[in-house]
Amino acid sequence: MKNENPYINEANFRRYLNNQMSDAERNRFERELEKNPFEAEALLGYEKSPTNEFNKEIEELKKEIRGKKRSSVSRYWAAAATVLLLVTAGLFWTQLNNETPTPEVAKLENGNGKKAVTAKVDSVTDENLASTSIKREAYEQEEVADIKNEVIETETKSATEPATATDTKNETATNTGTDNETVTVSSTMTETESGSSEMIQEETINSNKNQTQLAGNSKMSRTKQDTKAASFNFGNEQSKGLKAGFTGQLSIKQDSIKLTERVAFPIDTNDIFPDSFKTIPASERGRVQEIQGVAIQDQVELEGDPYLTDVKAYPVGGMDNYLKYLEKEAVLPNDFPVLKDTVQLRLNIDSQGKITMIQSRNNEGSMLLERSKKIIKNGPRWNPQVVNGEKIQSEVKLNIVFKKKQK
Amino acid sequence: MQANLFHRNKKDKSDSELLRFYFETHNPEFLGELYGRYIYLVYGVCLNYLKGPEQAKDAVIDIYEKIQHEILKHQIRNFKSWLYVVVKNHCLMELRKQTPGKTLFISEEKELELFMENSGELHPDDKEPDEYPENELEECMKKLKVEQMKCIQLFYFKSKSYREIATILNIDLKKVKSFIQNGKRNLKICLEEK
Repeated sequence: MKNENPYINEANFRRYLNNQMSDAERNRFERELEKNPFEAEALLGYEKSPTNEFNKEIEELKKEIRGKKRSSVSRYWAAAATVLLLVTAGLFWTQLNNETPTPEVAKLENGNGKKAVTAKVDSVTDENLASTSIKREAYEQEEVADIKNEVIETETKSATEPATATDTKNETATNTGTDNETVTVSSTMTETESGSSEMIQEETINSNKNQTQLAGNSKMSRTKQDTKAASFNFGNEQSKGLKAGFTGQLSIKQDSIKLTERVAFPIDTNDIFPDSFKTIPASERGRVQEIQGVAIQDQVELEGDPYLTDVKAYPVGGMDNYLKYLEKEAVLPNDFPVLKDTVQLRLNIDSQGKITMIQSRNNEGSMLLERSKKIIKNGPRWNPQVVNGEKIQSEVKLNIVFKKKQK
Repeated sequence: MQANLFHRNKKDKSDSELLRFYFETHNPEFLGELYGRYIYLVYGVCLNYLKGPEQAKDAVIDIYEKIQHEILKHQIRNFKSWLYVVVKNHCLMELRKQTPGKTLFISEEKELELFMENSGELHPDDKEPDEYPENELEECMKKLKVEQMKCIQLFYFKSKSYREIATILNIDLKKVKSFIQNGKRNLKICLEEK
């Protein structure tokens, strides 16, 4: 049902241009041209044009318009696909950035309910290696071990495992069902030409029966992630390839459990250490690292901030430096009646590390109290107490000993 | 579903149906079909105004992209007439860009603005000379210039083509067109006075 004029249409236009009409037809067509300026002007245009390939040119233009029609539609799809891609990439990137550095995560349970596990891993002296927040991208193995009412002997015995950097199948279990467990922790890092580092880490944790208390039927869930060239051993041979677990309460100290771990994978040292870790003084980093959380298959959920280790509030720069600062500042005036006086204080430190209140505990004279407040306020900032990975408000007792300056 | 049916049969749809469906769906397929029906005229007009085939081709594409948005802003009763105005406007704008400060076509632009405002048929009441009453026509024909009268007679009453008239009167084809156009206009004026 096109609006076709019997005389003015594309076919007749072409016939007229190509001189395919009789004179009578031409007259009929030209009479229409007189009434249709669009056609008349178009005809003038064709008559002026140096080329005679109108049919070809018009077909090309039609094709181009058809292409535009398609592209207009496909443009929407392209835009939608681009948006989808960007959103996906954004989510992926966010996921990557939020990925918790899950070194070793253990959850201990007993029959009466869940109990948190505190594992103190010591002897990681290198501050770069102290962080076990190395991204381990794939769970390769889960080991399950049941330990029933086991008491691990104090004596440290050799049960180290020969772990290689590339073959996880060579792993041997060390820590369950035996009296002899030795895990040594040693780390080496080699720089590669590409700028990334390959870290080979061996950890040895000594287990100590006296220090380790297990009650009832215990299960320990342990989930391990390895990178491509990483290998890791934990558990025993019976449990290889499965989920390992024991319940009960376990406390592990530096000299009580040893775990051997050998990992080799490329790492970026700027990437693996969380900022919160960097705020811990170097002297503190190697000392205590507490890990607490819940391990789930293919997924690790930690309670609180996994980057934060549980510590009490302490001054930035370490307590030793702080005490030196106090010693330097707490000077009695020469005309003070006594040579030495102590101000006992109670500091309230909020979750941001801000000192919110300073109280005297021994009702010392206002002059020294005010002096103490000034010293504290002008002194180093404090880091808040961290419990279960969460920064909390805390109270700190502090004694400042004022002395006369020795001449 | 309805869109698919229209899509399949769009070649059989009238201009107004395609136009309505484009308004409803904004699907460029329908406008493309409509534009494609007159693309040979658009190209011809662009050839008439612009310098060469390449410029004219670019203009044809530009106009198509332009009308996709412009068409939604107007109430269009006759797509072909509206398109003619848009094409002429576009070509004049192109010419103005090429020759800034030149007042060429200014009167035509004003004319086009009027067309835009009316946006109706270009020649709704156009009658051909042979459609007027014979006695009135005869009087007015005598008032025309000789060339105009001869051309009108040959063209409308003897059904001769431009080409034939040019041969018979031994004048240029363009002159034939010009005599016919001017004669027709004068006749109309004369007949309307009666």
